[in-house]
Amino acid sequence: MQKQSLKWNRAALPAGVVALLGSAVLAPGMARAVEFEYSGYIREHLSVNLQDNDQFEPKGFPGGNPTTLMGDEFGGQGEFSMIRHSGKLEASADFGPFQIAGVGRIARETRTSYERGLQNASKITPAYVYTGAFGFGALTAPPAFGGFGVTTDATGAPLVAPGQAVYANAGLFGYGGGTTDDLLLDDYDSTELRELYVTFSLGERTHFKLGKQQVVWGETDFFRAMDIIHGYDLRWRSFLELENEELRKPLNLANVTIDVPELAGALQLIYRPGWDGADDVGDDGPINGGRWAPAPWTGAGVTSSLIGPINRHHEYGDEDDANYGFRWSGTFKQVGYSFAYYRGISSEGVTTYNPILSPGGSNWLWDPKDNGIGPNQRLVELLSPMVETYGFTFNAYSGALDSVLRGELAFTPNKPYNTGTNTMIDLLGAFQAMGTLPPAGTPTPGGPMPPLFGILNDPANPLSGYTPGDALTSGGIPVGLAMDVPGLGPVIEKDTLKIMLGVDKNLNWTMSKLGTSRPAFWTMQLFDTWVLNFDRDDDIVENFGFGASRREHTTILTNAFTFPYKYDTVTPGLAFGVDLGSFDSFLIPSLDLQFGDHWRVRFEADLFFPTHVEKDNLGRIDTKTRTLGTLHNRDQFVARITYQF
Amino acid sequence: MFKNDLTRLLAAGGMAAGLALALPAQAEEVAEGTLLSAATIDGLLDKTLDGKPIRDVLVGQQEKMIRQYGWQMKLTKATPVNVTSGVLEVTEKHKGEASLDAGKHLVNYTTGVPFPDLDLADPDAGYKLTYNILRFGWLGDTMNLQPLNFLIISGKTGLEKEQGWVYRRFLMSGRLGEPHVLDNSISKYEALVNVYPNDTRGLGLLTVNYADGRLPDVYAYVKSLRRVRRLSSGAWADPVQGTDLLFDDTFGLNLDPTWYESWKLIAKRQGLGVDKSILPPLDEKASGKAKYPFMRLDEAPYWNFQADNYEIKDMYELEGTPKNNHLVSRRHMFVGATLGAPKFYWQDHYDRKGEHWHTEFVGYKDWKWDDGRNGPTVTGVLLVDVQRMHATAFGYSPAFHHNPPDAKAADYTPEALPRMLQ
Repeated sequence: MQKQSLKWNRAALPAGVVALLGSAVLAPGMARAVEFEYSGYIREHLSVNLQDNDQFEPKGFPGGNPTTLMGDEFGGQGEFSMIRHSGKLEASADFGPFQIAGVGRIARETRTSYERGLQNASKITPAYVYTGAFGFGALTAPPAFGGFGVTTDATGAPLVAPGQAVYANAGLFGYGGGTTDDLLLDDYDSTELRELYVTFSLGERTHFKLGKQQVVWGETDFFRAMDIIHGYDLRWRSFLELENEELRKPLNLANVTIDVPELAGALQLIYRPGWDGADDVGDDGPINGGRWAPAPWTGAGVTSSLIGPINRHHEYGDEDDANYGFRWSGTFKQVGYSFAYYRGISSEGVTTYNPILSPGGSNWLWDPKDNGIGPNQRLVELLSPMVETYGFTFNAYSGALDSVLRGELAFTPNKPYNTGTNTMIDLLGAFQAMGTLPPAGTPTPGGPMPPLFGILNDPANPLSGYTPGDALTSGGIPVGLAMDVPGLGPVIEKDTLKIMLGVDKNLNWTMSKLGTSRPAFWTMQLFDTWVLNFDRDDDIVENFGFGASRREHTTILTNAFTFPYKYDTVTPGLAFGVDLGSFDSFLIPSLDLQFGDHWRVRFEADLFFPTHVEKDNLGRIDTKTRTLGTLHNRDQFVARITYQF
Repeated sequence: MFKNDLTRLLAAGGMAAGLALALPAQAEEVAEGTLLSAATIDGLLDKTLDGKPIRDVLVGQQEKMIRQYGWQMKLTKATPVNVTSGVLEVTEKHKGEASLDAGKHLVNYTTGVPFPDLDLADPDAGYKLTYNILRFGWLGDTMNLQPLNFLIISGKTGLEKEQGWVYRRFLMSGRLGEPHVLDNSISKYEALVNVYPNDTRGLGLLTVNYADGRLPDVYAYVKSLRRVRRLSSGAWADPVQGTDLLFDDTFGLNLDPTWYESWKLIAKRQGLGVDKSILPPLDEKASGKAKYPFMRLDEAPYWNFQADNYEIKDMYELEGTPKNNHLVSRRHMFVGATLGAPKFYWQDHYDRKGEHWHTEFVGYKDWKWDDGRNGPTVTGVLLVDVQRMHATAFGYSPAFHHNPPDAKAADYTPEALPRMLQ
């Protein structure tokens, strides 16, 4: 912290500043001290892969034909996956009646060779596709006959029959990363004015905080139930950065708190006028490729391609629309509690598909607006829908357990989910629907163009049943190039309840038994997402693009320990979490070191133990990969070195 | 007749002369400002200050701290202890109201020193003195101490870290000013907000202390998470993060007396303490160690204050015995015995094995409070861990406020915590 007191007076300030500050601050003839403070850090993040990435990295074109790809695994064990340089400056000025504060952050990354490999793959976006009757013909027919002249399959064997798979070069057809937005490595660099707000009080009870800021509700660690006002940027560090203020995306908000001491509480009102950038709402998942891309989507530049751009101006979730909510929080008989309501852009996205892909159209509105791209070219769009959430939280100390108990309920009616655990996209069917390929019946050198379906195993199309390896659908329609993309069924809305129960405890015995300088801290938390009126036949996917079906309860148990030694200057820690349904788990051992006031070093290993993974590539049939399973082969060793001031 | 008188006079004169000859070797009065240090202590122990042999007014582990750890005292003639304006009046007005119940809880208390007449023979006198110290606003109904810079010091290598804090306190009962009671179920609120270094900046702790001895409610605003977390109420005796202090050491003593096994008033005696400190305050404009002109940061063991004025004070010798799950087995305290000014001049804490572990010193000086009263302020706190050769210290600032007019209870809620440092 640096502090500076400046004596300013009216004469020394430009007239405009005087007007801005107002007569309340600078009464005639009055000089007052403005207290100015700043602080911040300069930081290096380094991470090294502890495992080889076993997903497909394109390395070339079989026979020189760019339509399909050959390659091998990314590898990368022992290589840097992150070399990140960042700096943050926080400043505030206290004018007496009001205060102004701001936070700026700059991040630049040195692109590592491993990351360049990921980015190069994302430009191409290799898609593992199964050839059907039409696709086989189109791929193998010589160019002179309107085909692509492909002769080898995904394994390098001769492509001789429908049903064999190839790695298609999606980038060749405009479906590579970087087509509609930044390439992934640009996602890691940022220059942001993250916060800038003014605070003041009117009377004794009403406190205003206006401007770009972060407002957090709830009692939950690791996950989010009522921490829903803001989206998170999960691209550069997944959910793993210790301080979630670094991941949260600040918003322009009016934030008013009214104290009601008579009821031992306060009412907080939040209003988001919709003045934020489109990228500032909703979560940014790491689905543009990159080091945290969900396995096996490593090489897919989804959001920067025509595969699945983000749309933050969808009618069902428009950044420009106002959001609002309130929270009453207080204490009653030593129990802290809160009730809250928020109507806003959900941090959890939903995917809508282009209605031209299915004869049944799309049951959710297809409302593309962003990026000036024609509506007929995108396969799907990712949007963050407007939802309403009702929340309740509590916290209390239990003397019997010598522990803090905390809990949270967050109820979201009509929360949208993607369905269709075995849907696939037929890329050639999509091209036909878009007009890239001619309509059915058009004469071609190989005969009249057949009708193709955009979505296979489409719940809205009984003729579209398909099993990889088949040449035709169940309705006898030729298949083009089929790629496994679960989640292309109708969007379904389900009431959803998130439940969190947590226990925090100071472990006094660690002082005598382990020699900690104060008690170790243990926090345990059970986090459940409960889909109400659950019906297995709804066929909800846990994650779009993955075939594992959502369970009625998705329950994750987390535990974290910190062991402070040497006056908190040496603090080993351990965090682990397990999905109680699938037993996918993660383990994060860490060591925090303090050197004086300025230097902080953290070492951390992020270790994931998924029980079901898909090892190969976007498009490979997957039925079991759950959220933690997508972190397969993402084990990292991380060093974070900070100079703070 | 004349002869007898003369004989008597001569005899008396002889006795006087004999006394005068006999005493000087043991009882020479030290000059004002004499430095008591490791180098001088052997020559000074038998000299007197205000007529009292110095060896008799060294209390607790003072002699050890001087001999082994470089503690220094500037010996100064005693001056009267000034009692905060209004303290004696409200004490007189409410005298006899407060009492202890069977569980040693303070009951029927409004304000003033709850037990102005302590009787050493009273088995509850230790509890009563502890309530006298802790439950009444003799040091301020409200306090706002900032900047408050903790110095974390290794006795081997010197200054390790600085921590910048803002400390605020608000009494809800036992208030010196009107109204004397705002909520008779709550004794006080405390808020401690970190401002330095950057990784903990914005961490705010709120403690709600109850009047009936319940464990406190504790909340923390964790700025890096941007939310308030409930903390354990059972951590009131745990070490304060990064420091040598235990939470019940802060400002000399910070607890409900019933949380200990027992309190015993051992004696009333005299001892050396700092009542009118002459040390300079924190110099915010300076940089580095020059910010702390009151410390001897360049001189091993690096944790000592500059030599301050020590006077002989009337003190209560008080012994607190924590329960057996406490890190401390015995808290041996020397507390000002002047009615309405129970200052923590000196205390030693013993570990579970009964060995000397901590010494805690608090210095005071007279101060002009914001509400116009004359009262004390704390000029420095030093807690030394003699076993680990480590210490935590802070001095005072001219910007300390006692009874600031803008303090209000509504600022001490979990909802208000995030506002404390925006």
